[in-house]
Parts: sequence; structure tokens; C-alpha cells
Amino acid sequence: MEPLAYLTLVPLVGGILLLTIAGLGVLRMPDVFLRMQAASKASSLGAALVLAAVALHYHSVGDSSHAIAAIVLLFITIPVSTHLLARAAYLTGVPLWKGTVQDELAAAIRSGEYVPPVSEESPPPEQAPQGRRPPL
Amino acid sequence: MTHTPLPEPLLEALMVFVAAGALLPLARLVKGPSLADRAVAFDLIAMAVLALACLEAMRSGRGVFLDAAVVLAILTFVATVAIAQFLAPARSLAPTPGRSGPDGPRGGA
Repeated sequence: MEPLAYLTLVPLVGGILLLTIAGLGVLRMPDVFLRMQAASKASSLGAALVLAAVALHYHSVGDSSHAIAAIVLLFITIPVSTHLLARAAYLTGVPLWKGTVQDELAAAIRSGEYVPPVSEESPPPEQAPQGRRPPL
Repeated sequence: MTHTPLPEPLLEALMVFVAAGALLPLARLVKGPSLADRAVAFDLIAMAVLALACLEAMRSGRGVFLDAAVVLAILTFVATVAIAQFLAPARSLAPTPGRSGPDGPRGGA
């Protein structure tokens, strides 16, 4: 047990703490979109730190490259999937948090700049906030 | 010597901690009011499982668990995209994406 091995504990414990904080944010945040930002940013950094710890842990290129490939993959896919999910949540009428200060997509939908593909039977969010379809 | 060993009880304690931390998004998965909430919680649980796979790779010294982590990352992405497409299909999937906006059978959401 050489002392250098404990160097991998730094990203490992940091990443695990970040993952736990992301879980706390998903549980406690008031809104889907706030939950989403808590989950996506903290969990991508947390998982990347854990994978970096594994990459430091192994001394062979063949195993470390898997971890590095997973880091790259996560940093590419998590923003995309979060963006898609946020768009889907907004278009299906998931209610925004009461303290939301800005909703630019509602203005774009109202002005016709953006035509949502599924929102014909549900009224635009700024006209009837109570009358929106219940979220699935 | 292909890896620097860490003490096994330490890694096992960290695994227990990760699994306990995955209970927080599990609660959101159970009670989340919308399907998007559940998708977010599922995403986060998958990240915790990925961390568990990494820890197991460190504990057992087998690089196969890293392959499992990579596959898990890909599958999570595909699952989230599928849920998002189910909720609100993209415009390119609409049957007539004309100038007047898509009109056709609405997505099941």
C-alpha cells in the first residue's frame, strides 16, 4: 500500500459527494427544470470525477482509456439529453415554479416565432396557467 | 501490478454511501408528479449505478466493470432521449411539417 494510492481518493470522494448533492437537489428542488439543472450539472461532474479516479487507479492504458472514453461520452450526452427532456417537459405543460422570473419560450410561442408540435390542445402557458394539461 | 490497491473496506464503505445516496432520487422517482421528474430521477440513479460499477472495478481490479460503466452511460442517454421523444416528438417526426405548423396525429403524450 503505497501512499500515492490515496491520491485517487480525492476525485473519488469528491465525485461521490457531488452525486449525493445531485440526489439531494433532485429531491428538494421545487420544479422539474430546477431539478434538472441540479441533476445534470452535479451528476455529470460527479460521475466524471469518479471515472477519473478509476483512470488514475489503473496503470494500464487499456483500462484507463475506457474510463476516459466514458467521461467524454458523459460530457457529450448529458447536456443533450437534459435539453431534450427540458423541452419535452415544457411542451407537455409541466408547471413552472411560482418564483420563475423569466419564460422566454412562452414569449416566442405567443409571437409565433416557435410553433410547438404538440401544444395545440393545451393553451399557451401565459394565458391560462391553471388550465394547462395536468402533467403526465 | 496493474493497479494501485486501495483498502477494500474503504471502497465498500464508499459503495454503501453511493447506494444510500441513490435513495434520494429514488424518492423522487416514486413521488415525482410528472414523467419528466421521473426521467430525471432515473437518470441520476443510473449515474449512481455507474459510480458503483467504477467502485467495483477498483475493488475487484477487473476492467470489465468499466465496460459496464460505458454501456450504462450510453443506455442512459438512449433511454432519456426515448422518454423525451415520447413526451414531445420532434418536428421532423410530424407527418406534415408544412409552413402552417405540423398537423397530424399528436404524439401520445
